[in-house]
Amino acid sequence: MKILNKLSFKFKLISIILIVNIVISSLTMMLLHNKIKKTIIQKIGLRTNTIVNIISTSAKIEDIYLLFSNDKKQITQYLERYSKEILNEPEIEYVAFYGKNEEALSLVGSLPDKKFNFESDDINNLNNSTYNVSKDIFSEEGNIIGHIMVGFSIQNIDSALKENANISFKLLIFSFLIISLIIYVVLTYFLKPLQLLYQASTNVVNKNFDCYVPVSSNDEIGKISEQFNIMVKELKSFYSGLEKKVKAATSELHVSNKELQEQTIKLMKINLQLKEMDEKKSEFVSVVAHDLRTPLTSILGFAETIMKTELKLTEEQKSKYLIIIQQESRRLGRLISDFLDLSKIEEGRIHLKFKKVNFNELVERTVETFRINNNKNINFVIETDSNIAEINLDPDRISQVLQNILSNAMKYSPSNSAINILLKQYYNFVKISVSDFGMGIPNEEKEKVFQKFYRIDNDISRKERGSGLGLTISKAIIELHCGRIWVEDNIPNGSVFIFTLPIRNFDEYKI
Amino acid sequence: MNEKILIIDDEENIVQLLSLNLMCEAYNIDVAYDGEEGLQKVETFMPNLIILDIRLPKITGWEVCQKIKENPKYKVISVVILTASAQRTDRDKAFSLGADEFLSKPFEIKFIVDRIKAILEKKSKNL
Repeated sequence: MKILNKLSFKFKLISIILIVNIVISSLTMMLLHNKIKKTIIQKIGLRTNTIVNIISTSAKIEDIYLLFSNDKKQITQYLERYSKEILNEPEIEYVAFYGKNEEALSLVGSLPDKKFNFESDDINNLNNSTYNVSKDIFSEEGNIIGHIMVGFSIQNIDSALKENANISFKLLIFSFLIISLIIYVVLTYFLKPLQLLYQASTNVVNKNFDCYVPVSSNDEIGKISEQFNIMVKELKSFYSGLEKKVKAATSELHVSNKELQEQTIKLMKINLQLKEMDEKKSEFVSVVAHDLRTPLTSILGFAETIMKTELKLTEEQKSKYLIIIQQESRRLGRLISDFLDLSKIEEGRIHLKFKKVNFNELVERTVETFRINNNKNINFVIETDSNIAEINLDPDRISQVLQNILSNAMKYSPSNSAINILLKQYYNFVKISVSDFGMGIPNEEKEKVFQKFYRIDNDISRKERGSGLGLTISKAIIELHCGRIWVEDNIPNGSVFIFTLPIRNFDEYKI
Repeated sequence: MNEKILIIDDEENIVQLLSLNLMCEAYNIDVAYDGEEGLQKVETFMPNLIILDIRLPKITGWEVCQKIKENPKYKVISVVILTASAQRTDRDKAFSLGADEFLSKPFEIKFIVDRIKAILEKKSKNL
């Protein structure tokens, strides 16, 4: 079945027609052949009977009997001569005459071996190459006076029939070939529209919609072709619509994909920033924890030491350690407030309380506290313009900035030196500079001192350690006042911390 | 001969606190206030044990620890890291650098003294 399915329609059709043709033709031929054979044989039967009658009649056996007065020898001679003449006919194989008592009179030709039964062979049932015909010879009165037997050769007929069959067969084969050819041509012609249809549908499968099948007839194939053309047209418009839609969808997708990518990049950036912030935060926390633990260690350690009786500490030693505990506790308090300030600044939670303030008075008051608490005998000198305007600022915060700068200056100043505080008013701002005669700050560190937790690495900073946040907080406070803070070198030695504050009327506001 | 302890810490109060309490236990004490000074003192003083802070000026405690542990000459010296940092990563780093002990600030003096005693006793037994 599978092989059958693989064969082309044309081949199948031709095969079927041929098979039917062969069967019908063969049957017809067989019938025809038989009919011809039968007719011929019957004709032969009639003819041979007639011939035998003629032979027996013309032999005039009665007359011969009379003529030769029953002289058997002479009768035989006569009959043999007569028979020989008849045998000239090629179809006749032998002629035999018998007397009335069935005794042989003359036997001429090639007689069959079998014994005669004086009966003719059945013409319809011949099984030798010779057809034997037997006749009685009658006298004028109607008495049997002898018998005659003649053998006819039917070999020629047989071969003629065979030849006939052969020719018929050849004709049949030839006709098959002709028929096949005709069917092939006709089918090819009729199937051509189908072939075109096939090609067109192949094109459609390959998405080539510009192919129409020519409609040349009004038959089934024509109708199918017409329907096919309509279908292709529909398909084409559907497909192009689909394509447009797909294109639109794709471009939309592309756009949204791009947007998504941008969003992703943004998110990644934000994530990175958050991560950095998180890292900074945890670094900050660990620094804070570290810095808080250090004074705490001293406080706890000296408290434990004082309580240890086996050390046998003197009162002097004990009070010295108590002072350390006091100092470290203060330091701890300062650290905590600095950390809180910094976290407020960093989170933008610091609220400045602006007030119109006499700037001279504010500076004077702040410096005064340092003059009182002055164990290095430092000379604080304030130089100021006589008429500095009232400035809008947060007095507590600006005082804090000044304190940070002054305590740094004091920390690094040698004993008995001076710290000069200079106030000057310009067109729209005031400038405060604090100069000391300490070791100064190298150029590469002038910016860094304002960074979080930055400490100049030296003996003084180690002994009187701050939070490392004072200048960071100061910078933030000054910038919140829209001012600027920086550090310069003091000539010949030491450093100058300078900050500016704008003079303008702004009301209390939050940042 | 008394066993020698070198204290390397930039915090003067803590150096004072530790040396006071360890001297009372009859140890021979020397001090340094930064990493550079610490390494010099290691060479001249040849301590049996070093109490080492991490956040030090000039050379960090990590470097000091590494340099000591890398030098076969100082193989016998025990290193006790004493820091205000209590981070797990620092603790792991200390042991990976070969420190013998990692202790955090703030501390109880008694605890520190006991730990140092234990480390030195163990070492002398092994020798």
